[in-house]
Formats: sequence, C-alpha cells, structure tokens
Amino acid sequence: MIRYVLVVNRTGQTRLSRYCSGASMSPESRALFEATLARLCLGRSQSQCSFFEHGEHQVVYRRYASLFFIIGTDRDDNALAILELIHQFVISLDSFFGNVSELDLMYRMDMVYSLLDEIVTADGSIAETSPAAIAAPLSLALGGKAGLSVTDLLDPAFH
Amino acid sequence: MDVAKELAQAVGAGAGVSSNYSREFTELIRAVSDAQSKEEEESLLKTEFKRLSSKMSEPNVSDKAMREYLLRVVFLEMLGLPATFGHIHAVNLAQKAQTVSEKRVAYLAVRLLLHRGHELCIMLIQTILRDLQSGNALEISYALSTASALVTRELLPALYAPVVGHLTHGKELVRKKALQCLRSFLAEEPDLVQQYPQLVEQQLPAALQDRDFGVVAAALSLYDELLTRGAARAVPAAALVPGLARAGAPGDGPAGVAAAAAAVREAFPLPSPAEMAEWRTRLVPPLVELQGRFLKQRITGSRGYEYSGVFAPWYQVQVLKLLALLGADSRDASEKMFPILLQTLHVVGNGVDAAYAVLYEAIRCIALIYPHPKLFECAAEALGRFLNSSNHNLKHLGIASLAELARADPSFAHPHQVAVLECLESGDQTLAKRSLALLARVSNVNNVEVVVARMIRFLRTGSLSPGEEGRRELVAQIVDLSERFAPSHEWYIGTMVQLFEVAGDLVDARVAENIMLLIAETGGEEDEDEGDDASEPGAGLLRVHAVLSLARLLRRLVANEEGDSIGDDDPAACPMAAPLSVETIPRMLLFMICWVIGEYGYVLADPAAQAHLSPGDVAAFHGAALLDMAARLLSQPLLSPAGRAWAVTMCMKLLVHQAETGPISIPATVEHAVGRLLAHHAPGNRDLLQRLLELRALLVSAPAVKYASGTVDTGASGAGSLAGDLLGLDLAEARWGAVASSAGGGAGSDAEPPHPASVRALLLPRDASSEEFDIDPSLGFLDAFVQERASRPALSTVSMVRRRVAGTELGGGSGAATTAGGSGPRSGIRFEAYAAPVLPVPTMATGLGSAWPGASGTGSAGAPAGTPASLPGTAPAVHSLNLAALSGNMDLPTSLADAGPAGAVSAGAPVDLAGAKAKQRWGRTGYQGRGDAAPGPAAPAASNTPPDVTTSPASRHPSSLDFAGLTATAAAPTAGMAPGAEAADRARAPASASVPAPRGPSAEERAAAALFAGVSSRPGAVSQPATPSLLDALSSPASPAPASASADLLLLGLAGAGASAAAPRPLDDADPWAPVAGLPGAFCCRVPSAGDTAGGSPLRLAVALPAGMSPADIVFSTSSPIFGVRTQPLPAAGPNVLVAGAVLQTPLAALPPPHATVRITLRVPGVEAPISLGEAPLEELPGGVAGTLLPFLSNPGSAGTVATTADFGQLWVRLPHEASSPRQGLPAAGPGARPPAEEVAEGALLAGHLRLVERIGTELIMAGRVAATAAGAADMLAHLRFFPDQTFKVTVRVPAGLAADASLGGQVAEHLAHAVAALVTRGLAPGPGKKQPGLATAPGPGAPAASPDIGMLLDL
Repeated sequence: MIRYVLVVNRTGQTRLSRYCSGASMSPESRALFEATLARLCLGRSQSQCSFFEHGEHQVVYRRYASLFFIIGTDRDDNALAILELIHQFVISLDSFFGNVSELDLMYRMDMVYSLLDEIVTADGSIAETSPAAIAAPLSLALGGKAGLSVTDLLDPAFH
Repeated sequence: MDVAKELAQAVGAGAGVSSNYSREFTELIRAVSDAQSKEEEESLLKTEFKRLSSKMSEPNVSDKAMREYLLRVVFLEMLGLPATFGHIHAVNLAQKAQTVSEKRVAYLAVRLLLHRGHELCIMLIQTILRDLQSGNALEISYALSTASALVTRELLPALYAPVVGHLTHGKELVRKKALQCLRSFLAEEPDLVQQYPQLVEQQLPAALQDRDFGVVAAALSLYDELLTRGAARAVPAAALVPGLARAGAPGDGPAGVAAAAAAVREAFPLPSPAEMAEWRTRLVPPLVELQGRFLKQRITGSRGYEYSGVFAPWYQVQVLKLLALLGADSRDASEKMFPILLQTLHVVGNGVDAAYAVLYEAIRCIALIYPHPKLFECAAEALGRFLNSSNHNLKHLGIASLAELARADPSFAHPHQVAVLECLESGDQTLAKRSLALLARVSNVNNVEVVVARMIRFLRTGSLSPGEEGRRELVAQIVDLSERFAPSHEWYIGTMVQLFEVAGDLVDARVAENIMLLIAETGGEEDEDEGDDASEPGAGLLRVHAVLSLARLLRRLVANEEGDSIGDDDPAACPMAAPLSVETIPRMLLFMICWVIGEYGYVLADPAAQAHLSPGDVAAFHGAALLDMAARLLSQPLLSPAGRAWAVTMCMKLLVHQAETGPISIPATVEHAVGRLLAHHAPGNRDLLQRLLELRALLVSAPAVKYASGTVDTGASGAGSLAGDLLGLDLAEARWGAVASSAGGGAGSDAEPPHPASVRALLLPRDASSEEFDIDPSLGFLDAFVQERASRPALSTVSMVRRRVAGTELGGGSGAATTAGGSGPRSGIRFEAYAAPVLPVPTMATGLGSAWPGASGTGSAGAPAGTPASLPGTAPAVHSLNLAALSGNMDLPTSLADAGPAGAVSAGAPVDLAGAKAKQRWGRTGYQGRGDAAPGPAAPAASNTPPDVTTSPASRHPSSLDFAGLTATAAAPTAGMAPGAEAADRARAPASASVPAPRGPSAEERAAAALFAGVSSRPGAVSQPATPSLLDALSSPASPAPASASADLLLLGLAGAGASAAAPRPLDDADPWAPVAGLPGAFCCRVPSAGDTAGGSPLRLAVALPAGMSPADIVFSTSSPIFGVRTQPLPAAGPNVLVAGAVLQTPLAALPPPHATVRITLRVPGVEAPISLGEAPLEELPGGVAGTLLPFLSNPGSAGTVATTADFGQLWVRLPHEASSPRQGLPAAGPGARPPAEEVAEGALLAGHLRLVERIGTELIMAGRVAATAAGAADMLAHLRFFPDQTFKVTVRVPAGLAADASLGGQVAEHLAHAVAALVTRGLAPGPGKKQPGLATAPGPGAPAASPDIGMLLDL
C-alpha cells in the first residue's frame, strides 16, 4: 500500500506532496520529513538501488533532472513495480504537459494533483495506469479549453 | 516514451494548457523557486500568508478567485506553512461551485487540506450526496474521490447506498471511482460485507469482468482489501518518520506504533479459515483466468495499459499477490494456480524492469503457496537473472525472492552464495541489509565460516557507519550464527575475538563470558589425564589457539601504542580496521586478553602445543615474551584503571604459572612497570596498589628467578637479601605445602617437604577457574589449632606478638589436624587443619601493607622499608594479598583459605566480619566439644547474675564470644564458654528485640564474663567486681589467666568514668556495656558517661598493648564521617600493658548509619603500613541511642513546639512507638542531704537535653529531640513518674520513621527509655566525686568529653 507520494527537488523543497490514508502530519513536520527524504535520496549514488527503508516504510525513488519522485510504501510491497509506477506517472505528466519541468509542477499544481489522484487512490492503492485513462478526466474537466470529451479519450469499445 | 508522445499529441489540449493562475500567484511561485535561501523563502511565504488570509476573508470573493486562493493555500501548506484559515473556504467552494472546473479544484483542495476525521468533513456530506446525484460523471467522480478520502465510519451509512448504486453507472470512470470508494468504506467498516452480501456475491464478480480495465483493477484492489483487511492500515504519522518516533512524541513512539498496529489487528481481524476457503472457491478461477488474459494481452478496453511491452504489470502484480494469499494454505487452490504461474514465469521475462517486477511477484507467489517442485525449479532459475544482473534494483529483488524461496528450502540459496556475498559488499546498504537477512536464513554448519567471515568483513569495511543500528543487528546476527553453527570451538573463539576487535562495544558481554567459560571448561579435559592428550589433539589445542590469537592481539595492541610497526605484520590485521589502541579497545576484549593469557598463557610453553605452532609463534610468545607484553600493556598511560588492574593480575598469573615449571626470566619491563606505577599511579587507587604490591612481592620473592637481561634495576640492592623469605610468602608456602601434603598423606606428622611454588600455585592455581569449591562454614580446621593453643603454657603478649609476626606459632601441628579433611572439601582449596609446622626464618618488616588507606603512603617504588627487626614485624600484612584480585572469580573461598594461616587479626578481618554477620559460628564445633569436656568456672558467673536475668551473660553478648572464638586465641577456649555460646544462639534474635530489655549483669560483670569467663586459675574473677581483677590480670604478666587468654593483641573494654565513679556499684542496667560485634579479639563498649550529657563520646575502646608500643600507635578510625575518633593516650597500667582509649568524638549527630564501622589499626614503628586489628560495625552497637539526644536549646526546632502540656498531649497520641523502663532501687533520699529525687532527676534530664514541659507532682513530662538517620532530628516525648517505693518509670514515645527501618521504632523507643532512665539514675546516684548532672561546666555539643573519665578509670 502506498503511504505517500512526493516530489522534492534537490534542495529539499517540496513540489508535490500527497499523503495517503492514515498519516495526518502537520504541514511543518511534513516539510521537514520531505527535506529529510530528499537528503537521503541525494546521498545515494546512481548505481545503488532505488529503494531504502526509512521509518516503518520502504522508500522508492526515482530521479528526473533535479527532482526526486518519491513513493513510500509498506515494506513488503513490490518495490520494482512502484519504481515503474513512478515512471508511468512521469510519462503521464510528460504527455499531458509536454516535456514536463519543475516549473510545470508548480504552475499547474492543480492538474498535477488531479493526474496523481487518478493513479493513486486516496487510501494508497494503485488505481489507473493507462496514461490515456489517467489524463481523461482532467482533460474533460478542462474541456472548455481543450475541446475534448472524455469519451474521445477512452477506448472506443466502450461506446 | 512513445506512448507518452502519442498521447501528448492525442491529448493535445493538455500540452497547450497554460496556467490560469493570476499574475500575483505566478510571481510568488517564481520568487519562491528562485529563492536563494530558506529564510528568503520563508519571508515570501509569510507575506503570502498574510495577504491570502486577508483576501480570503473579504466578502464576495468570486468562485474563480477563490479557486485560485485555495490552490495558494495548498501551496503554502505544501511548503510547510499551515494555512488553516483556508480550510473552510475549500469546503464552502465545493458546496457552491457552479462549474466543473471550480468543483474539481475545490474538491481537490478539500482532499489535500483536510484529512479523515477532520472536523470540517461533516459539512461536506450534503455536498457529496448532492454531487453523487449529479448528471455529470466528473462531478460524481469528484464526490466519490472525496468520499473515499475523508469519510469516516460514522458518516458511511448515508453514503453507502448511492455509492453502490454507481457500480452500474454507464461511465467506467464512475464505476471505477465507486469501487475505489467502496474499498475505503470497507477499510473503515469491514462489516459492510455482512450487511450487503450482494456486494460480494454479485457486484464484485461483475466488476471483475468489467469491460473497462480500470474497473477490473479497482475490483482487484477491493478484493485485496477484503483478504488482507488492510493489515497495516492506520499507521500513525510517527511511523513515517523515524526521528519523530524517537523524539518521544507522546503516544507516537515505536511503542505507540506497535500499539496502534495491535489495535488495528484487533479491529480488523483477518478472514477466518472458513472465510478464506470461501474466497478461494470464489476467486481463484476468475483470477487465474484474468492472469491468463493479461499474459495473452487480450483485454478489452485495454488501450494504454501496456507498459514497456508488459501488459499492465501493476495489475498482474496485484493478481499474483491475491493468488499468493489464496494459495498459501491450500493445496487445492495452489494446484489450480500452478499452470498460470509457470506460464507467467516464462512469458513475462523479456528483460525490462516491469517484467522483472511481475517475475518477482510470481516467484514470491510460488514460494508462498503450496510448493511445487517444478515451479520451484523454474523460479530458482529465474532468480539467477535477478542476481546476475548488474542492476542493484534487480539484485535487491533477487535477494528478496531468494529469501522467500529459501524459507521453504534453504538449498535454493546455495548456488547463489557468491552473488549474495557480492551484494553484501556492494556498498549499498539496502542491498547489504537484504543480503544479511538472507544469509542469516540460509546459514548452516557447512557455510557458516564463509558467511560469518564475510559478515565480519562487512563490518570492517562496510558502509554502515558506526553506531548505526544496522551494525548492532549485524553483530547480533554474527553472534547468533556463530553460536548455532560453529564447526569448532577454535573457530568460534577466533571469530568472536575478531568480532570483539571489530565491533566490541556492540557485542553482548555475555559472549565474552561464554568464551572464557568455554576455554576454561573445554580445555580442562586434557589436564585430567595428560596421557591421553595425543588421542585428543583438538581439546588441548583450544586453549593454545585462544591464547595465541589473543596474544597476537595483545602484541598488536602494545605495538600500536608504542608506535611500533609490528602490528601491521600480523596477517589477521585488516588494513581497514581502526588501529587497536588501549583507549578504544573494547572493554570486554581487554578483559578477555588479560584473563585468558593470564590463566592459560603457560600452555604456549608446552612442548606438545608448540608442535602445533609455527616457529615464529613459539619465539614470539614464549613465557618471558608474554610477560613482557603484559608489562608493556601495564605501562600504557592511557590504560583504564580496570584494565591496569587486569594487566597486573595477568602478570602475576604468568609469573606464578611459569615459575611452577622451572626458572623463568623476568623481563626488565615488568620491574620498570611496577616501579613506575607504584610511584605515579597507585597512590589513591587502593585496588591497584594492592595488586602492584602483590606483584612486586612475587617478583622479589621468586627464588628461581633469573633476570633475563641482567639490567633489572629493582631499586634496592637489598633485593637479593630480601628474596626468598621476604614478605612471608615462603612462610606461607611452607604452611601451604604442609597443608597440601597433609591432605595428601592423611597424616600431618609425616608431611613431605613443601614444594617451593606450592603456595603460589594455591593462590594462583593453574586451570582452576572452573573448579568447584566448598566452604566449610564451621571452620572445623581451626579446632585442632585452638585445642593446641589451649593446652600450651602462657606466653607473654609481647612474645606472642613477635612470634605471631614471625609465624612461629601458627602451626598447630597436632595429629587431630585431619579431622576436617574427612568431611571432604573437593577442591584444591583445602580447609584442613594445620599440620607439621615448619619453622621459617624470622623475617623483618617490609613496606607491603594492608589495604587500609594508610598504606598508600608506601608508594615509593621498589624500596622496601627494610628496617632492622628490632620490633615485631608485620608479616600478617602480607597475607592480605588481594586474593580476590588474584583468583578472579573465586575470591571468597581463597580469601577464606587465606584467613586461616594468615591469622585472624590480619587480612582475614573483612572475611571474618562477613562470617560473623552471617551468623556463622566460627569454630563452633570446637567450642562445643570443649564445653562438654570440661564444664568450668564460668557457671558461677551465670549464677551470680541478678535473678531477673533471663540469659547468661555470654548470651547477652554473643558476638564477643564469637570473636573470642574467631581469633582462636583471644578468649581462652574453656569449658565455661560453651553454655554461653549455646545460649547465644538461642537468644541472639530475641535479645535484640525484646521489650523491655531484661535486666542484665553489670557492665563489669559482663566485661569480665566475656573476657575471662572460665579462666581456670582465677575462678573468682567473674564473681568479683570485675574491673580491678581485669586490670590485675592485664598488668601481671606472670598471671596465667590473661596469658592463657592472651590474644596476640588483646583488646579490652573498659568502663568509663561514670562506671568507675560509681564502682563498685554497677553503673546501671541500661546497657552501658555493649560489646561490639564483629571486632575480632576486641571488646568495645559504649558508656553513657558524663560525656553523654554533652551529647557525645558514647564509645570507648581500650586496647591492651604490648610493652614497647605507645598508645599513639593505635589508630582508630571510622568509616562514617559523622563520627570522629580521638585517641586518648593513657598512662601505663602495668609493665607490659598499655591502655589506649578511643573516644568517639562528639557530637554524635545521628544514630549510627547502617554501615558505619570503627576500624582499629596498629601502627608498628618501622613499619609503614598499619596493621589492621579489625573493624567493628557500629550498627550493632546497642544502647547507642542515649548519645543521640540532641540539645534542643541549640536546635530550637520541632521539640520547641512542645511548649505546653496540651501540646505534649496532642503529640503524645500521635507518636506510635512507646517503650517503658521501670526502675527500682532509687537511693533513699537522705534527710536533707539530697534534694528530692524528682528535682535531681529533672536536673539530670535537662542536662541530657530533655526539656521539661511540665512537672505535676511526682510526674515529669519532657520533650526532646533525637537524631535519627531516616528522618533527621525527631521529636521524642518522655513521661517520668516517681513512685513512693523509690522506684520510677520512664515512658518514651517516638515518631515513626525515627529509625531507618521503621520496624525498629519500638527498639529505638526502648533504648531511649533506658537512656532517660540512666540519666535519672545517674543524677540520683550517690558517691564521692560525682558530678552534679547538668552542671554548667558540661561541654557544649561538639566538644569531646573530658579525658578525666579514662584517667579515673585507671586510677582503680
């Protein structure tokens, strides 16, 4: 079960933070926690494996440019699958924004969260993994501008 | 990425979406991301915080504006600034938002800002319910997402029906979200399944078959929840942050986490076996089918689910996880899965990470379900691909899955050992931890050596920083594996030594103890039959091996410290290891080195052992080399005090053991080290001093010593002359040799000549550390000695002392010596009586002292105080060899062994005390025997006592008898003592607690009885007033009485001034004569004398001294700072006897603390160290309470509050402990000659610090203060009533807690009653020269009692 999804930059500033059920921390302690995780990730080399244990949880992280995408899971979760999920998330972002950058995450914060909501449910399970299905509701919501309907994005077989 | 690009084009819209945020917000974002410092960022955020809070509270904020404000709130909180003012606005906007766009953001903000159980959640319910009914699928999905994130159990019933209704919604998005929402509901309320059975029976199976794959996945996830019940749900926040958990946030620590987890388990029990069986039938077929479809990638509605060429890897993982759960305990279910699992293993392996993720899950599933050989084989094969990859992530998974497989069958791990060990050393901590867990799981007897070696190497070189918790875990793992699978003791010991070296402080001290025990016990087998040694080469080599490895370590340690390079040559040394140093060496390792080399260093000299050693080792670790290393270790300035003590003992053991086998060389370094330490380090450290002196004694006395280099500078040209017989060591040897031979021969008379090294061997026995020993508490071995002494003609005290010192008189040597031997001590420590005395050469004094602080003055190195033997020497001091130190764990028995020959008045004293306290009857059997044989003149003493005496005099003072017996010479062992001793046994306990105390004999009578009871030549001594006869006895050397009773140093109790003034009339019966228990040969008394009225000097000690010694040579000291001791030089009482008095200095501010002792030592001219004559615990001083009456005038404290009779009455009823002392025999008030008794009594009491509250006729009520240990000063009330028949009665009440032990309160009260009565009696006592009580001349508190007391005593 996923416990948290974070995007933290190299200097420890949070760019996205999503805590799944059970964890209600104050904003201050969250920021501290996230900076700590960033530091731990920074301390690991490329060749080292992308998992480590922190607290009660297993931390899976992946680095994109200056950003660490971090997911905390239960210790016995399939770390490699989570690692690939991070990538899938980035793919989704990338495909939605086109060459996503750190600033995108900040300037389009609401959209990023909406996309993440499709991938990881509120209680930490993996929901949607198809980039098309991930993007569909958001695109629909932004529909006025994007001019797309959700059915356009989904499989024709559903019609 | 192709997919991504394709989608990016398809979506198009998204790619072009620009931020709709206001300029203000975008600038803030830019400023924050450009911020150069944390401070700058914080100030930006604070500005934003203020601006935002004012803007949001403005009226009529448009929804559009509010939408952005909410995002800005989210932004602030994300960066760590709580912006709670915005929360309510999120809820409001969700409710009133008109457009989908605003609703999306409002719900998003609600989910991000609030949490489950937040107080605002309830306000959302209506909004959610309304939106669930919306015609817009997006609005429904937002409501569902929010409900799943925030709804709690209480709000759930309202929402359940509409949510379930959406399971059949036309849009897959809604169906999916509804399932996700239900998952959350189930997690909150597992009973939903029972309430809505159709969910499991119809709706979920339908969802599993949904056309849309997102819906299927949501159904899978819901099943997962049903099967695992969210086993790890509701983890407290503290669990996320290790630091936070340890910071001790209340309820959030690790214990809090565990408790929460336990609570969760209780609240959400896993499905029962029956339920699981149902799930199996329900789920296994569709899941197997589903996995088959995944593998064939024929899922409808599957567009975009392919990832890196693997179809929906995350969903496959989910399916496999469910299968593992279902198949775990069911062969049937497992068998249904076998085909699809096999297929999965083969199909997914296309070399991408996603495929590996699925593969890993499949392997784990295979490991968890009912085992299938073929599957296991394939899984193991697939494993190789993980482990052989260069990718650490894959290695990590490989090891994790290997661990799973090895759980079923460890043999699967064997082919991969190398790969695993590589992972261990990859420098990747995550990987290493996994590997270690695996290794621990697969270790066995065959591979433990490799595994542990790698683990230790990992410890040396690994990336784990010191102090890391993982390091401790690893150490524990190594210890565990080594203990379980060690192929041999040698290996185990060697490994543990290495481990101690690498991470000694993390190793449990128990391990070192085990090792030492192992070396001691296992290696010992060879010694029992050395002939068989060859047949069992391994057993004997264990010690050789252990000693060798530790000796190497020692050599490196010493070399490192001295900047030598030899340490680097050692093959065992790892370059990565931190250099050994005495500062950093783990304590237990140092101890192990010292103990093992000390105990067993000699094994390296054994030719048989040397055959197994390399020539280099033989050369490097011969006896002298070990000694040299030990001495060099000893010299290290940074060595800890404990380490130094161990090192000294190691030296001693090496010396003694090697001397046993012949002449040895003593390296000059030893002498140097000892000399330097004695000069610089020892003073102030008594233990070290003791050990060093012992070591020096061994050095100089070893007759066989040849100095290695000839450069030894012993600091004394007299070393040669001192050698051999010096220090009485050889005297002791002779004696012990005799003991040994008598034990062997059965008859002491034909003892063989003692072996020169026998005493050393007995004191520092070889290989005896694990032997058992017995203690004969009756000390029957003394019987013969005592008997022999009893039959011997009297000797003068002086000659006794001299001979005693020279050791001439110590040999008992009668044929009866071996009686005790029959009772069979099993060990090498024997308690047989002395036999075949051997006359040693009389010796001279040396500077080796006892352990008393005064001895520390002997620090001048290597310069024995070799003064001519014009005076009796002090050989007994030598016997205070700190045997505890020498023999390590066998201190008590050896000390006991020592006590015998060494003489009771020397070093044995502490042991004696221990014995006395334990109510051991030292030599009791002997007394009994004598008592039966010759009932003697002590009987009159008993019959002489007043009629109300309930016990014999002796029984009143059992301890003095004990010590008379203990010293074996002090109280002449005569028949009369026996009944007393017997009675003492019976009366001991009640005597201390009886209320009121029985009237005892007079002080003098007791003194006499105790000291001279049964002196056959002077039967009248007891029945007469004792003091004159006592002094008579002392002053007359020709008199056989004291002579036959002569202690080596006879300590006598003498009456105080009050007694002498009142003589011959007994002072009174308030226990003035309280012998001090535990003082060997001594008789101490406490006398309530005039000094008492000044609040002090309750204890008098008098010591009879041989001629030629001055009273100044007697040193009294107390262990408690509250007592000062003043010695009182006294005029000679006779040609051979001097008497010294000691007065406990005033004020006696408190009851004696529990462990206060008075110590008596004798300082002999020419001898630096005083001889301990013994010590007496003050706690056993009864009657000491009188001295604790405090002068309330100088302490106008609590007692001052008792100002009136009413006060008195009030307090009286509150004080729990009461005791009375009725007295008779008040002197008749002479006509006019004396004031009325009441008035005299009043004066006496006032002088004794009692304060008169009121006098009513013949009754006095008084208040006073007493010192107490527990409660400080406390109130005491006394009621005194005179009766017409010249008797009076004192009743005293004291508060609880007056005594340290509350149960003693009654006793204290009793003492006080006696004390008050004594004061009264004294005040009324007639007699010439009697001071009027309460005279103005009474010294104030703090001033010692005037010396005339004792002087008057001697006037008798």
